[in-house]
Amino acid sequence: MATAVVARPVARPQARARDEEVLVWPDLVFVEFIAALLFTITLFILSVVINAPLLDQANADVTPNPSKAPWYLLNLQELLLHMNAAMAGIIVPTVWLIILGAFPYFDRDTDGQGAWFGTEGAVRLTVVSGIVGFVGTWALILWDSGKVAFFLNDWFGLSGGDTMRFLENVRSMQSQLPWPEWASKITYLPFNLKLLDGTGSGGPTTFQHLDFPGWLVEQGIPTALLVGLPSLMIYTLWRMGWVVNRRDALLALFSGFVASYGVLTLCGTAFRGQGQELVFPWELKVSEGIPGQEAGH
Amino acid sequence: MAAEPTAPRGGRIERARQIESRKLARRSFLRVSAFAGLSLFVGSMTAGFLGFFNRLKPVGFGGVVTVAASRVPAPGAEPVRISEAKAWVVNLSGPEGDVLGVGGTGGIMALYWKCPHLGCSVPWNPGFNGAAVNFPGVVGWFRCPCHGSTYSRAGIRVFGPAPRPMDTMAITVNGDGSISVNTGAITSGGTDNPLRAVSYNG
Ligand code: FES
Repeated sequence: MATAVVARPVARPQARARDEEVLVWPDLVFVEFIAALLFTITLFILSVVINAPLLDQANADVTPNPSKAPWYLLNLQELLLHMNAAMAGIIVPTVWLIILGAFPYFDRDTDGQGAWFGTEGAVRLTVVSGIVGFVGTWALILWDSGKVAFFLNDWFGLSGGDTMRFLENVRSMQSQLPWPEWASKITYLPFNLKLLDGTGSGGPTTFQHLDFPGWLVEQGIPTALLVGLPSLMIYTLWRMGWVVNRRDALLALFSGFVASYGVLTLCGTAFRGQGQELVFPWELKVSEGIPGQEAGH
Repeated sequence: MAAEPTAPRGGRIERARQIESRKLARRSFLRVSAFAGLSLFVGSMTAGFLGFFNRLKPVGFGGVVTVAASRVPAPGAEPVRISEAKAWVVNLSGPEGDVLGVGGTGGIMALYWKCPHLGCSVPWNPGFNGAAVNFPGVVGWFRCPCHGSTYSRAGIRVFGPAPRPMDTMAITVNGDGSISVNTGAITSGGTDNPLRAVSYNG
């Protein structure tokens, strides 16, 4: 590692000049105080304006439709519509948090640290990857909810017929392709695993066979897209010469993430109606789910 | 300290003894309450454990639920919600609900209303048009309120994140046209769901 030290001599931090410093009191604390006041007032006004009643005691017989998590979790609920539950709920958030935590270890450069848009192409990178994240996430949501095929058919009379039907959303690749019988039970454990077996309630009973079409639509394709599309974007930006160092790459990745996170939250909050159907916010109605009074009754 | 008033000699001893006896009382109180708490804890754990050995037949959900003939839907009619069985009873007319074409010939079936995805109660949506999930012309689907998994009348999953079709419950048709739904005998849903329907002419 001696070469590394020679290659990049560490600069001694310069002593800061006195007039660059600000004082905790009053400079910082005063700003914090104002912020606290503003938040208190905003929350007060919100609590007057928005009605948030405590509902009845939970009743397993009554399920509101749509049933939604608190708004800050609706991004994950939106992900749950598109992939395996363990992936959307646990694996993707965990892996992403680890990646976020690893950012500073990946970008070790101390130049321009703490400066907004510190690199040359930073602003356009942020804007472009933000747009890519925004548009791309919406496009994927529209595709997986079957809306793309629906609109192509409804507006332009375009239809791929039965042969193209497997492209209508991710799930239809499982149900609309002529998978051979064996593909949905590929044995991969050489021994007979009897763990919790024979209960007939799913779960571990299917553990030793791989349902390939199911795996493909629930795990395979989502993983490929989650890893592949951001990588593709960064690779393209690199070939275009916009991304020149690691910080640029992370900037693009993070801006894309923020945009798609926002889209997921927004979509889950305002665009998901009964049965998690994609609707416009003004069409969104919640049915209390009281038996006999559900949708259409 | 020097200014502290001095009580008569006998009174001080008496007071000290009283204090001492109070201390003992407090100590035994603590001991009794500690052991009482402990035995309460152990007792409730034991009672909970013994509860597992309750061999009484469950009634309602978990046991056999009888659905009177008047509640059983006619062939092709809307599915009927049977709360006590946590199930939808469907009467399929012909190949209805067999959207993937496995050769269903109709009959009656009980679908466990718990979504095989993450367990929300799945409602019947009579007005939902299958065009939105690429089955144009088929109106009326089960559609989960939580993540939108969509199931045909026979519980066949055609859309959404659920890993399999809706689970089914064993059904027997009784002589008087009522049906018995065995809510303890739940079978994982499969593409063969429509073939599990039991013929019914009540
Ligand atoms: S619980 Fe029904 S779709 Fe997720």
